Amino acid sequence: MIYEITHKTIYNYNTPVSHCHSKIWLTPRNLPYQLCNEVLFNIEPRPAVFYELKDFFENSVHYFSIQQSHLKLSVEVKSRVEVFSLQGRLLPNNDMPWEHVRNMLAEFREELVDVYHFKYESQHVPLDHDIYLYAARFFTPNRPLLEATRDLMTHIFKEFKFVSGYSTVATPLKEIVKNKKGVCQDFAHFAIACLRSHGLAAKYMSGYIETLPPAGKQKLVGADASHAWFSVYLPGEGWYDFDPTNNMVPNERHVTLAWGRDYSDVTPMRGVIISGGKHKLDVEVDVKRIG
Amino acid sequence: MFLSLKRNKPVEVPHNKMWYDETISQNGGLKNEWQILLNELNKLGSAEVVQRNVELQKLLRENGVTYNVYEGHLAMPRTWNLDPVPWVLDAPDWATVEDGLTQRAELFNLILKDIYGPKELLKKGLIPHEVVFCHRGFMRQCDGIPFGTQRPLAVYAADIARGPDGRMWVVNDRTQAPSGMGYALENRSAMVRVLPEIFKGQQIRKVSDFFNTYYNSLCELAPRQKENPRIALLTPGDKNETYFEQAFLADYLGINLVHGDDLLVKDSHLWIKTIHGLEQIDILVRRVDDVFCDPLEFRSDSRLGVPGLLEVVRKGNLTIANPLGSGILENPGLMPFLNRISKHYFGEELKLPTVATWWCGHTKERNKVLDDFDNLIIKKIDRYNGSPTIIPSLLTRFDRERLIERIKHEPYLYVGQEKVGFSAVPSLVNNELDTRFSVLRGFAVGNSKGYKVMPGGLTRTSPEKGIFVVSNQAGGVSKDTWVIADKNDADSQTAVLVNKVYKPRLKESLTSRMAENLFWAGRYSERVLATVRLMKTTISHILENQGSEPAQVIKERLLCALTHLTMTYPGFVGDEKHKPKEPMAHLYELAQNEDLSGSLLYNMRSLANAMQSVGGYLSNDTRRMVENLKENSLMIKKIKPTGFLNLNNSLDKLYNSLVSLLGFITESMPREQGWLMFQAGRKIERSSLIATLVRSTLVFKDNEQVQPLILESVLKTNQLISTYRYKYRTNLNLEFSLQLLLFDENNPRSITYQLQKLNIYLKNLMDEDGEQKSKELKIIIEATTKLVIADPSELAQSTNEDFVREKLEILLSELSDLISQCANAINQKYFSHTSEVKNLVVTTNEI
Repeated sequence: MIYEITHKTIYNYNTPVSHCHSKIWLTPRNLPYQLCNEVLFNIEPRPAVFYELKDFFENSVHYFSIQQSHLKLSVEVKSRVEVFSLQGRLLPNNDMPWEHVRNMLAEFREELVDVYHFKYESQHVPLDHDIYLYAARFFTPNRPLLEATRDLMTHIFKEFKFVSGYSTVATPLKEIVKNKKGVCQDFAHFAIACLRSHGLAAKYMSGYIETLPPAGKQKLVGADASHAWFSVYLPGEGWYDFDPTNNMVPNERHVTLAWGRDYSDVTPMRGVIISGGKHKLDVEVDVKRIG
Repeated sequence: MFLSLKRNKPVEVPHNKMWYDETISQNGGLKNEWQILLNELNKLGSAEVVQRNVELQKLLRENGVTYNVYEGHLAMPRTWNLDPVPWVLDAPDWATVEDGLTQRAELFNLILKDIYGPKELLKKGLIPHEVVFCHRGFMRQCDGIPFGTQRPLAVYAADIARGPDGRMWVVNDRTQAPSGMGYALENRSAMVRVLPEIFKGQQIRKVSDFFNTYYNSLCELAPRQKENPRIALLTPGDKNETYFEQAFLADYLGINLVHGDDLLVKDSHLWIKTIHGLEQIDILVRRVDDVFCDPLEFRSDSRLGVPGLLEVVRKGNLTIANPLGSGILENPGLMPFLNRISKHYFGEELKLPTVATWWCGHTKERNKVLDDFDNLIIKKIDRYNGSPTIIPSLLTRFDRERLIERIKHEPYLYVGQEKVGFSAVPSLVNNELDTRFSVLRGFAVGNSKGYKVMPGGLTRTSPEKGIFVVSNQAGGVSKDTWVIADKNDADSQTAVLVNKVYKPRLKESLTSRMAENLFWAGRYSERVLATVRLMKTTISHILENQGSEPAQVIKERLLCALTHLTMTYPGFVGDEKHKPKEPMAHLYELAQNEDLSGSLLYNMRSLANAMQSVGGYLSNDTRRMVENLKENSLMIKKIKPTGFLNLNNSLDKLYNSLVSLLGFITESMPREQGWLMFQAGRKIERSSLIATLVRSTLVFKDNEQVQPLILESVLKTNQLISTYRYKYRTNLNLEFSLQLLLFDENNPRSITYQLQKLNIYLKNLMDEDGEQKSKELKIIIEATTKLVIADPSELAQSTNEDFVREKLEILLSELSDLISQCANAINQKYFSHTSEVKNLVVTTNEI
């Protein structure tokens, strides 16, 4: 599949902003099953400083600063991404029990140095006992890791209700768990917490999913949104993705932007402004299949 | 009594003792260096030493040496406590400390470079990965950014204690923004000043040279070896516990003391905002913890840092000392592994051992900690939530169980540590010699040649006998630390005075924030002076005139003027029903109520805050006067609200202390931008206050009985009675009084005089080409012109039947308006940093 993705973020201010510093995680990663060969940035007003850097997890990040007074900031990122066939993303036939994985991760192995980051508590993923207990019913003795994880995903899909606009970045995971409601990133965070509380390594995946319009209807431009899912580590094989919001193993319709320990590592756009006033945010995302 | 320390203790076997006595040598006699010190103290005699101690504390208080202690959420400045008896260490003892600190600083420097670079220590398993990855001081954003210098760990500090066996141990490492260096220097200079005699018996090493090394080492950090780099010290602000020290160090080293607000990131460089625009900073010494330094990269709710700061570092346009991310080294989880890392890098063991520490991330060690729980102390590997040392034996059963649970749940976040005994050092307690436990904070600074250790340091002692808790927050006392010079040490304390580093400061502009504070310090001083004077006039009027009808009218008029002047509406201006029944009670309120905006105490506090924020700009003597002024305002707060006499006396004292402070400032402040700002503030405020006073007293038409009395009160308030008599040699009349108050360009208390001076100050502040279009000057010209064309005799007349003098009222109201416009124009032009830093809201993913 080939997609043209447009991600537009607009801030309107009620008093002039003299300076703005921002970092954006909006460039799709290059992966064995994904190739991003074109990214165009259209930022208004024009940034005085703009460049790419790699973050700790090798994601592509763009930093920019705007130094002229402005009342509106518009950041449009257009990328062209090709997602290849499912090869490399399908779950392998691997029945390594989850305890085995846990025990391997509990020891120190040089080759796992980059995996350990995803094992512990992080800003949006607290490890508390209730979450451990919830997940314990999936992680029963000798159960293969991938099977248990798939089961966990399916249960989250069934037991949690997707409610658009239910949560903000500040909503604690505890509340999501209590009310069994949330959006995709909440489900991803919850699944990650379940895995980490069992000593496993899980990472947060930020990206897009192609949505299909209801039968017989035109697809609306700009009605898509960012998406999030999670990935679990299986020694000897690598990382495997699961999408609890859609109860599926991600396929060609999932485009990966970046990964981190949780949302805070890969926030699509973060920024600081110097201003006395208030602001309003609009985001439009369009994932268009072009081939 | 005092001399009793000249004792000979019976010989004791050292290892049988509970703690080590610093004064006793191995053979049981008094150590030589202590013997000499005690001889010198005895020469002075106990009464004299007690007297000097009083002077010592007084000097520290007057120098404003403080340490902010938190009471609730309020930071209360507490005077720094210094014990006149130093901790003396002989040359061999010191050599151990010096070698040990040097080695340890080198070691931490290497660890820092490795953690943010190749991570060999993690890959080889020399440091467990959890100790780094789970520590909140590990800043992933800083990973891989080149340090650009061989020893990025520019300053290193360690707390060292001596155990019962006589060995020195390191109990804490400080690597982010170590405090204490400035206090150590201040301690020495206070000691040299107050107790010069006791330095005589032996050669004591100087500490001031160390600060030269420090300054030069900082300069070496300049990106691209820039010559004459500009250095600034980033402070969290005057509420921070060690703010005094930060201001003191910045002043001593001749570098800028800056707040996050003073700085701006633009074009990938760091700039300081001054009244004449932006000036570039090359090196930033930080006293702000790394998570607070850049809201874009780290904690987004921080308002202490500068957005984009890390970006400047990434681009190699700024060096921060110590670098962002160095908090990872303040990590008790590293302690058990230091020895093997030392062997790995240097092929040798640690010269100064670390207090025995067990990291709970390893099963065997965790079991050891849990088995021996009540005999150990527990620490978290990071202290980002302010989680301090925990002493299990002091916990309730419930808390103890919870702690064990937490350790079992996330063991890698905890260490168990042996309780260390501290050594006992003689201390002056309640005017007698007693002993207290002591800990030494030692400092090392790095440059291209290596690390250099301060020959001395900051000694802190326990507040009570037999307690092993030493912290400034808990109310401990500090000591000067003496290192006895070896034959080879050239830097002994021979000169009695401590030399300043005194770098010739390049011509630098005043920061906008500093300028604003000076401007407001000027305004508040005039406000306080005017309020006190009018209060005094009012009180003496009430005391001297009872009953008569004119006296009653004047009393009302003065009370209303007081409300107008202080803008404490409704006050005496409101309708009859709400007017204060008891003028006296209300006057006290106006003087004492700190929370009432416009009250005397409120203005005093604002003045003190503004003065404190410009601390570095004031001379030592002036700062002392500020302290004095603060004490006098406390006195106002404390007087019992009974009778006018008390209030009157306190007002006198306050007035005198403020006048002498202003005198000191006039005498000592360099005639540069800061002075111009301060004076501009005073002139603006004074002209506005005169206009308000005249407007609220003299625009009313009064009968022949009232008129002269009210004129007398107004002139008296402005201290113009004798001027009037000398100049006009006639009875008081309105026209001449207005002449004096509004128009007389030779009278320093006329509005015309204020405006003329203001014009000069503002012109001097400007760049050469800015004069033509400058808004504030135009406003002054307009105001001056209005005064020039006004006719005093016409103003004094009343043309119609109204009971106000219309022309006078109009002129004064226009003047007030113009003066406030002028203040706004100054504000916009010079203090344009009032915008806040805000975070952009972020979206959640919605599919």
